[in-house]
Amino acid sequence: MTAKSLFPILAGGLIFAALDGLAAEKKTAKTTSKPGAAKITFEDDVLPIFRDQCLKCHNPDKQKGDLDLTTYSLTLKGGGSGQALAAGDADGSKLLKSITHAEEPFMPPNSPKLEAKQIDIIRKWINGGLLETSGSKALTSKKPAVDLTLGAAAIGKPDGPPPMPGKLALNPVVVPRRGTALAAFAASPWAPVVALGGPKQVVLYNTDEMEFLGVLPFPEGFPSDAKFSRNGKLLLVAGGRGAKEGEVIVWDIAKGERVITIGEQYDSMIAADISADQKWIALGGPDRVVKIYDTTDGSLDHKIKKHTDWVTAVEFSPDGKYLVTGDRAGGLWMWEAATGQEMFPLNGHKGAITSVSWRGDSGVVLSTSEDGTIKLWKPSDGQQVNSWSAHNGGVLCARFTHDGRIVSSGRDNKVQTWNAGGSVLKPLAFTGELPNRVTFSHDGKRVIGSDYDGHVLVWNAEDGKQIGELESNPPTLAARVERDAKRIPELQAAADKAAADHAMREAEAKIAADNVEKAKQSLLRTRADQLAREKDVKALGAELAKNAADQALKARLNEAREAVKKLQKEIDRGEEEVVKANKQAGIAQQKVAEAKTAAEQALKNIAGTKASLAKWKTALQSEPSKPKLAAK
Amino acid sequence: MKPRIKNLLLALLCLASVAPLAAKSPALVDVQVYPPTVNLTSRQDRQSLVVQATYADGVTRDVTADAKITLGNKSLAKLTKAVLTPVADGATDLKVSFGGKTLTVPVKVEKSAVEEPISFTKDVVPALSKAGCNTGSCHGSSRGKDGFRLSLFGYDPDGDYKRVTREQLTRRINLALPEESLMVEKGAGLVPHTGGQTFKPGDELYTTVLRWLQDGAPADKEKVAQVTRVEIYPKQSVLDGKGAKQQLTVRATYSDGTDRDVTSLAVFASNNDVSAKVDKLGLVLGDARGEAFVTARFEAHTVGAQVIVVPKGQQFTFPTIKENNYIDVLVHAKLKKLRIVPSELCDDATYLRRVYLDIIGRLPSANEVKKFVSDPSTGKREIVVDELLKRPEFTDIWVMKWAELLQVRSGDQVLTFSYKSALQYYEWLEKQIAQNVPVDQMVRSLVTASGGSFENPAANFYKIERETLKTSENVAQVFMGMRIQCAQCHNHPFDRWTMNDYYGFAAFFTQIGRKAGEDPRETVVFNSKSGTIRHPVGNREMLPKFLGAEQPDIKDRDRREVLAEWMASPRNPYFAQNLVNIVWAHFFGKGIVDPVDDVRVSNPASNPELLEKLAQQFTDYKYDFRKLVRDICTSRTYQLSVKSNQSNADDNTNFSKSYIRRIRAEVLLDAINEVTENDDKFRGLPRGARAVQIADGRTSTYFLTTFGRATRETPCSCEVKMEPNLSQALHLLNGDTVNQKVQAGGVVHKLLKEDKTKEQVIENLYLRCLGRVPTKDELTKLQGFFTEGKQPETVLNDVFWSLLNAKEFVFNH
Repeated sequence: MTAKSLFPILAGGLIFAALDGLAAEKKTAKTTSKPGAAKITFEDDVLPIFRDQCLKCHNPDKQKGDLDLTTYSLTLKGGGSGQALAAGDADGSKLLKSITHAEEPFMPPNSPKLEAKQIDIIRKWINGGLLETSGSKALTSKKPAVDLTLGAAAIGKPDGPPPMPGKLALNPVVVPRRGTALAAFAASPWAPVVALGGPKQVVLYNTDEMEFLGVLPFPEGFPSDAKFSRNGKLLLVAGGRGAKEGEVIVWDIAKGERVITIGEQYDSMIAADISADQKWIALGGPDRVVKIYDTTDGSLDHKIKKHTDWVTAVEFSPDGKYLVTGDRAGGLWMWEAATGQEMFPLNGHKGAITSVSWRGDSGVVLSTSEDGTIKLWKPSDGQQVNSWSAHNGGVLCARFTHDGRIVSSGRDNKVQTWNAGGSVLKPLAFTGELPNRVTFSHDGKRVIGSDYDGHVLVWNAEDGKQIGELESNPPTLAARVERDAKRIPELQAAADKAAADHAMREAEAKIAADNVEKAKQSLLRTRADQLAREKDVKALGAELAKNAADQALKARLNEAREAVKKLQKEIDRGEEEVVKANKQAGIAQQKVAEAKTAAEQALKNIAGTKASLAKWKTALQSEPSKPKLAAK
Repeated sequence: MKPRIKNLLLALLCLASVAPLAAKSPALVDVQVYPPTVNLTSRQDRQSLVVQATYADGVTRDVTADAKITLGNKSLAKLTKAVLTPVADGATDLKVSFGGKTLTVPVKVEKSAVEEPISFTKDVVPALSKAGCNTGSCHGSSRGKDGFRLSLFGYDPDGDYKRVTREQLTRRINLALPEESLMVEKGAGLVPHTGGQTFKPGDELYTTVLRWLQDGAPADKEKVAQVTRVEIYPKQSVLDGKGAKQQLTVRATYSDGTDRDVTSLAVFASNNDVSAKVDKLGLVLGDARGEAFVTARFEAHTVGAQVIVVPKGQQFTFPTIKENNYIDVLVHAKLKKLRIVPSELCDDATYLRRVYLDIIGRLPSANEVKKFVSDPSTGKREIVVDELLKRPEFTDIWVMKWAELLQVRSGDQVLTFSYKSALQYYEWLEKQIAQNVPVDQMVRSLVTASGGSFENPAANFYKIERETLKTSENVAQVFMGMRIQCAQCHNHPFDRWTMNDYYGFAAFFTQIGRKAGEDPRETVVFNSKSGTIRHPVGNREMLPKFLGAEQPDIKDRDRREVLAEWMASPRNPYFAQNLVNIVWAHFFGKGIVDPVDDVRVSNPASNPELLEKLAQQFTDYKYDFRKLVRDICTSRTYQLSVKSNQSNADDNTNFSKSYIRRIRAEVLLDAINEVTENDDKFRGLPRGARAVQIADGRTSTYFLTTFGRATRETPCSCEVKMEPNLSQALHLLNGDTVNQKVQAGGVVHKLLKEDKTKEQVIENLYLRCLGRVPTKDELTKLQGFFTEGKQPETVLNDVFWSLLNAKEFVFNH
């Protein structure tokens, strides 16, 4: 059989594979080791799909998007926007992104997606090394030889317990009537702490407990950038009053004290960072100049005047060697941190840079832009190692986890996690408003994001489920006391109801257990009856053998046999009854367990709220100062 | 006692009779209240009123504060000074009394309990416009200012909303603490702002923006009512000198039928601050005598009001002057308002020179001057106009002018627009004018031209300009006098034209097919029957719509035909007005709308009644413009002297005197050739042909270029440069034109040969060049140059040279 004559039967074979799910998967897994059998190749498997769906436009005559898919070599060559295929990396291949509608342009245009099984073939073909025919050798990845896996050492983790904030002020500086978009937004690299910069203050939360930790007052104005130091012990906040003044403040979060202040800027800063060794602070803003200050004596050591528009992103590499800064015109540069000397221009973005984030091992830095892409760069030579369209209309923010995953948000109102190859790991459901900032929690297990209105949501990164919301505009202690006090009776009522529910479920379960017992007893009785009747049958049978002509005896035997049969039916029914009763008893037990948990949780809630009420009350006594409330 | 009482009484009586005489206040003629109706349609709605009194001497006075204003049903609305605010729903009326006259204004109050939310499009954008944020020199610049861009004058509210709220997140607005938003802090000047303080904390603009932010900076719901009309009142004021005031009130009408007092949101401007200034709130303040046009811009609409300032308390009587025709009646009507007396008539010699230069572009010969001046008949000026209109040179002048408008100019490469095409096009025009083809017909032939450009040279109209948008712009500019270019990218800032109008008009020219003819220099123009244009904002397909008029039915028709039928007809008010204005400007050196191809709301006609009447007359003449020229040249206004009197010394817009004009390049060169008896050779023309006959805009000489001959690269009226400058003067003095021609022509030599005395020769030279005989004073002075040892011929040639360099020669006066 030639390769071509296989075409007609191929589709049938695949339906089988799809239907048989796992089994088929195993089969292919086994067969891949055997050369020649069931390899997915261009000629046999992929070209027919292309012929069916793609070649109307991607043929030598039309070459839509300069892409011709009629031959193997031309398919590999790619189109106007570069190579469409990356051997071994289906999810990173533009062709697959197009047909799975993960990225524009969606293909085929204005039509439904290809059938799942067709996509699957193409995916496997790419992952299998882009075989041309069954005799070809699998291609290996042609991607630049950069290690997108994590470097050896996760740098900067301090010894000892995670650096958590100490006692902080619990009364907010101001309680506005509504929230607003946050710009300063940072998670500690080593502790479950997130800092949210609202007007005149920075609010800290414990992201594991979803617990309010306190506020750091920032009366200077509006914070526009926040960064934890590499060891997580310091929190840097840049901001100020637009067109008037700018400051960078660094807090020791354990003490809740300001340790560094850099002022005398004549506009609010937009971005700033502190180096891993805490020797340098770099900042930038609308004046287009990046300034590097020496924290030891507060002197301005370097001024970088390369940017042609507002500086919008500034971040030191975790190893302290490099500094990357971006601007509103799309300009992006890498500098030597200590000297402020240019290392590489990172050219490629066609829109304003919105954020920059280093991977923990300093091996890769990412940049996001209003041009819709996330780009990854290599610090050793300034080369771009990956770039993908992440959000239509512009990417607003992206951050790395320690393990190299990325979370991003954009003007398509989406929040998504990615692997370094640019494949979506998890889309996260957000509020529908513009997601301005996102970050991972210290352990990469949670994602925290904030929107245009100042809502802050927390998700589980793994399954994408929402865990809860953090108040970026927290109430006063007095209001907390009031709120908790009001909540306790509500929670009590709920607990009472849960307890009552629990009791009711217990009663129901008892009835169900009784029913099981009853059914069992009844069954036993019936079985005993049947046994008795069977004995009768045996006895009558023996008698009848002796006296075959006794009609009356015959009649009695028949009667007895009938009775046995009838009882057998009853037994069957009884057995069913027992199974049913057992099942119901099981359900009842389960409900009991649920009700019990709920009741316990309700009690815990009360206890928790009571505890927090007590906490707020105590705090209120030691911190009675009334916050300045926003004018109506 | 008795006599004393008598005396006292007498004195009192005297006083009583003297007092009104001393005040001499003219009688009250009329009182008007604006707006004529009041509709209040929401809780925060309001309407300001203006009461204007007109007196017998034409002066108007703002009597809003003096008038007695009473509300019929006081429970429906509240009257504070002259501003009405709603209280409860219902209808009533307002009685306004002044000087014994009472007027009634109907008042309707609806939805008085409904507080309308602040809308970005309806409230915030106008507030930003009023504050000046979105002007071209600030954030309205196409590149924005200091990193922040708004659409120019708010033509794109949706885009502005996005830029303000979502572009540079967290910087511009702060929803938590709205009063700390950079947007209001900058505008109020609380933090450094390149544009300074544009509103003050607590004022209306600040409050509008802040309230919107306090509401959470909401986007507008789907549909926001559009402004359909803006009115300004009063439309005309005559202020009594320096310090006289008049408040204006501006009202906008929306597509949902509501109206709104936008006086505080309109942007006011005066085109003549020397005479009348207008402040931000629409209060006009009179100053120096003169006339100003005060405009109010609100959203895409600009409206204007005329303000005349007369000298304070001046007693003025307009003298009885003969009015030759309707032109004089209307010019005088305007002059009366301005209290200007027109100049005297010019003398016969001046008139003859003027009318020759204007109608046929030549100087009258010595004999013609002599004959005309000595002719005692009274109607001789009319007769000479009629004679001149029959001369072929009249055609030459107007063919030249049309060739400028239609850009008859050969291209850089033969195939773009060959000389042959230019010549054919020129000859086609010449035929039209010579045969007195009505102008509407000629314009229709041009706009609808189809076929080969060799066969039908009118088709060159679409050969010269091939771009759809440019063609559409040129048609608007040449045939309707409007520059709509601005509206290509944004709503016209100083006129009524929006992008919708622009692309709707351009849609008429989207189906013009062009292909090469047999001769590669020929282009065949045809109706391609397909092709559309899309609006750049929203990308919707635009259907053809007349400028300022309806959307016609274009089904199965050549779009250009539909356009031509409307455009060159009385249905299009701009067509006739534009043509008469072009003609008028030729004869007066200044259009009634000036420049002639810049008709817009903010550049109004100096005498709209005159322009309308001329247009009406021209339409009635079936677009025969020889008749129009006759009306103009025989009017008294055209015949005025350049000498001003006390009242019209400063006037340069109302035709109260004749304005001195430099003679245009071609006519001047022809005149020099004629008086020196020389001829020039121009490309493509036989020797002796005149410069006005040059067909191709590319053909020029150093002289013509220096004197501002149109290159015909654009249809703009500014192509012909009429301003005198130094290089022109130097060229006449030292250049090769004048001196060489004086020598080469040998006029003096010939005259001397005819045994003329030097006095006769001087007189002849004067008549040739200046159209008059020399004065005694001039003759005496010239005698002094004929000293011994100098050849009379040399001296006379010097006199000739001097005459050609005299301002009197170079200017038409």
